[in-house]
Amino acid sequence: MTASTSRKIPLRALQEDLQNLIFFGRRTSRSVLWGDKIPSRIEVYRNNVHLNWTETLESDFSFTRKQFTPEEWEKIELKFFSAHAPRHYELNGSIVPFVPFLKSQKVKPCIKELADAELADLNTFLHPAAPVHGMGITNPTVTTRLYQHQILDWFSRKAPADAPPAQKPQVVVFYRDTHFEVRMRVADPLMLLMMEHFQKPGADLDDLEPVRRRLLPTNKVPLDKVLESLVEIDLILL
Amino acid sequence: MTRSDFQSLPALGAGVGLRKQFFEDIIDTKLSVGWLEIVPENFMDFGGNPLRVLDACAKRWPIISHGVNLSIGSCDPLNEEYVEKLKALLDRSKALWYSDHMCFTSVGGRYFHDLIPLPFSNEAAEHVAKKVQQLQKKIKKPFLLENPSYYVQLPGAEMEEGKFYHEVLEEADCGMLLDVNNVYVNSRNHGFDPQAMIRSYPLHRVGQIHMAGHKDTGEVVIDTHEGPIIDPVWELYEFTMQEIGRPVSTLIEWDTNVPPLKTVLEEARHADKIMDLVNRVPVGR
Repeated sequence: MTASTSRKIPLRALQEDLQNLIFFGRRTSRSVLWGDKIPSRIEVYRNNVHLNWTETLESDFSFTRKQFTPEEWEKIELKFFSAHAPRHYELNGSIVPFVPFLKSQKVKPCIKELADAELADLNTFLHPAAPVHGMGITNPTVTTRLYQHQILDWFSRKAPADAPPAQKPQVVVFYRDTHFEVRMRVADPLMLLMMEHFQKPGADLDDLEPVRRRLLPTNKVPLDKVLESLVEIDLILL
Repeated sequence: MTRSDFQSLPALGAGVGLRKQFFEDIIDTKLSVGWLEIVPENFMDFGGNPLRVLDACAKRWPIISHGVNLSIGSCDPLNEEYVEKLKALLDRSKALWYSDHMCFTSVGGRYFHDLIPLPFSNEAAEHVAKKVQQLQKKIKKPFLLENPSYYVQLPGAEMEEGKFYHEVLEEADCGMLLDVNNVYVNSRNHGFDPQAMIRSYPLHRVGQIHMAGHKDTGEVVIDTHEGPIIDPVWELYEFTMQEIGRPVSTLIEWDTNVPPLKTVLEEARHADKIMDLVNRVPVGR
């Protein structure tokens, strides 16, 4: 408001001091600016920053959070943000390192996979590509994940903590349909083969048959029927 | 229009923010929406439904962009990726102008995701002006800086707040987004006369106004953008319009516990009424 003091503090030092005072996981009790007389209203910034960061994490990983007690989750948040302060100008972009972070922690493997699925779900919803009919290719928003647990079923039941998924490998495909809805499907080998084949614009179904005979010799499902079903669900956009 | 001619930015009346809570209804709404303000960070990296809604809205209404993480006051250099994406979004949405805050939001590439104030020092004024000049070389649209709310007074001030804004805006040749609620909030928290503060700003450079609700905890008033705007802030708005002496596009910010669009638009209509009233009466200056 006013020219209250003439004390010269370089701008960079001032900004670093405020970062140390405010950032979640730092919060020093001594300050270059104020010594040990830190204004009580610095708490407004601490609270804002704390809430902004943690609410985003809790919103983007709401199913993952359910797997922990509030105390456990608070410890995870503190540990994560102490090591990974936001590095992106958009908050959702800043919490991407949470999945590799969780993978490095002593956490049940199915929870690590659940977090990965939640991030894939979010990324698919916001994927910059615009899938439309007639593109002649596999839906450009597709992401494929291999899980060691039956994640899709657990996810669709909102991941109840008291009913963890069975340990059985599963390939899950995430994509956004032409109505802007995120879809998740369990993928079988032929489906994956077909998605791979139609990555290339102008791909012909006839060219897929010899590949299928080589890679999936026992599979006899008519290719045109499989293609039709994948087109129907917007996974391949013809 | 030259960059410094912020008085001839179109006066669009009162508008509302394009928030995700409105995505479902806004495209086909029959309600009278004057114009829309977007937070660019909510669209810059994304496709899908947010971008679909923005594209549809840009066909119906003027779009103005109001960023939160340009971090113009940071000692970090401008984030080139951010600026490039912002430019692309402004072009895509045909934004008439864009704005951000007189603050810093990052240090060493790490973001607060909150608006941290700057000291009113010569170094800060020169630093911000220089960065705005760099920005304006990259994005050729009118740029406005908003006065943020602040909860602590930083040591190192070498001038009054109003003079600081004059120094930065004249040197950088950019406009001002005057947030009337922030002036009110700051006046309550720091005990100054809000009308004197309004008068001290470079009002000839004001190209847009923000109005919002806030939360009064008893110990501190917090700029939450929540709830209806209280009468003292409407009175300060009327005073501001009289001081500026011309209609200025006014945005109703409502970001916490967002109500139905209709409720926010009622606040916008109230701003329109005040704007009409003030600009019908000669101010005699």
